[in-house]
Amino acid sequence: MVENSLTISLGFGGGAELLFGNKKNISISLPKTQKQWTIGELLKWIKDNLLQERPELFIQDDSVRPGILVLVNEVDWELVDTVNYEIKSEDKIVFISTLHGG
Amino acid sequence: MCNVGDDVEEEKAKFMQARTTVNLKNSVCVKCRTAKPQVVLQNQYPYCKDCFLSATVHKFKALLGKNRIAHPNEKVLIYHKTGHASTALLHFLRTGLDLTTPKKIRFEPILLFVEGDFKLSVQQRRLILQQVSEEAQRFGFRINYVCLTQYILDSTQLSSLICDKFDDVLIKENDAASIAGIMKKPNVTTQTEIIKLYEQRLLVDVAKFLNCKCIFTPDLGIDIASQLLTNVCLGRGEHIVFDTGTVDSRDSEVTILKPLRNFTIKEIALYNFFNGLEPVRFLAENVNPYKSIQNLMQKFVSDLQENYPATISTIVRTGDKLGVNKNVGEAKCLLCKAPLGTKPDTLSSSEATNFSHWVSTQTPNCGVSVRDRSKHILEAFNNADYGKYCFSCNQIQPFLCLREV
Repeated sequence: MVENSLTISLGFGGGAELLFGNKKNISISLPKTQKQWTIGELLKWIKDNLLQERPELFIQDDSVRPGILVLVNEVDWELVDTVNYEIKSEDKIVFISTLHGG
Repeated sequence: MCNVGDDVEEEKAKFMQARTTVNLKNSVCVKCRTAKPQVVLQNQYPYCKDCFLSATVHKFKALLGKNRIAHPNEKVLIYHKTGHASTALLHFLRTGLDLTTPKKIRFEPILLFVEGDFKLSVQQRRLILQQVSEEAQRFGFRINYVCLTQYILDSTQLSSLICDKFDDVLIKENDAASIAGIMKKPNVTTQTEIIKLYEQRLLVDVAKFLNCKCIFTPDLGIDIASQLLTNVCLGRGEHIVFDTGTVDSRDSEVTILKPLRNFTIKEIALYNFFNGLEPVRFLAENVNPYKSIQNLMQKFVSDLQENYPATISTIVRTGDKLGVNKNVGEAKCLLCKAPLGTKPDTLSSSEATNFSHWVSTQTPNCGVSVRDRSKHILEAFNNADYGKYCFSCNQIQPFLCLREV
């Protein structure tokens, strides 16, 4: 049986969790679509479904705001083509805020 | 011959190169050249986790070893703040203290948390204090707390202001108003500057009170770079070496060291992540970057860093090449405690600034000849002698209500 959803876990740290109701780990299921889920698509999904406060502190244009680090399975997303990374099942994607001053 | 435009190619080479996209898809760690990289530094150097962590720890130790400020068994005051940098600093110290090799750290760190977030609610400030206390406990460090507002209002009662329990810190609803009350309607730049001067003085006072000869601050490269540019803007160029150098020795008894000045925030945040450390954070209110020179410089440097990864290190390294003014006397500025310069033979930049201000604000007497006019202006000009304050503090001193400073 082909699963019709993509289960991944999200992590938030360094203050990014404060924008998500203080949750550090969130497990989500993304509905499978024709297109492959990329981090770029995921960011839009997060903005619409999870982000609770001040979206400008997390998203800027079509990427994360400068100052937010993204790690895919403990690997810097710059090594996996950033927003174009194609998400796989069971991936763990962590967002760490480094915004200065609080 | 006219050669305008011939040197365009050369001109380009003079400027910093914008961020280039390096294909790192099949790269290996630049250090061990075998492992798969997990981190990219400066947008181009891939590191594996192990090499990254050992390089980070090495960088910290190298700076300590190079300066040898803290001697064995001495107490060192650690200026603890919220955020990534402080948490990483505690971890560096804890792992260094727990070593059994000759590289073990041999001084005794004492933490100081300065409570000064008076823009937040009392409840939020209490929560931060509690989290900070838990963090210090996790690392097994002794910590002291001081309320910055109380210190600014009355710095003579320091011993009663230092608490070792976070519950004892006096936090009042009207702290922001009390702070505003000691100043005469300053702009945000001056206000930030005044609070910073107090904070600096508080650190030195507490260090003396607790018998610490050395203070560690958690300033990162970005803080140093924006501080340096701020200094230039505020007429504090003379103090760049003190404010941004590795070692600040303007006080004869207490030395301030900035052990994290060569780190970027990314390195520190990733170090925390790989070590499973979570810094204390809170949602600060949105700051308007155009409200003060300090905020603007921070924004300028971090925006530039985004596309030009060499920005911060270029600024910091340039600052490192500056020296202190050798023409200084015994006297120190009453506010910032930096040594005051003695009158040089030639006109200094502050004197030149004063002179041009003087000339442009005089009403010329048109009844006399040009020669007499300029002679008159020159004779009447009396270069302000900063007997008590340095050039920059002289500008902010009129905004202070307290007389004794």
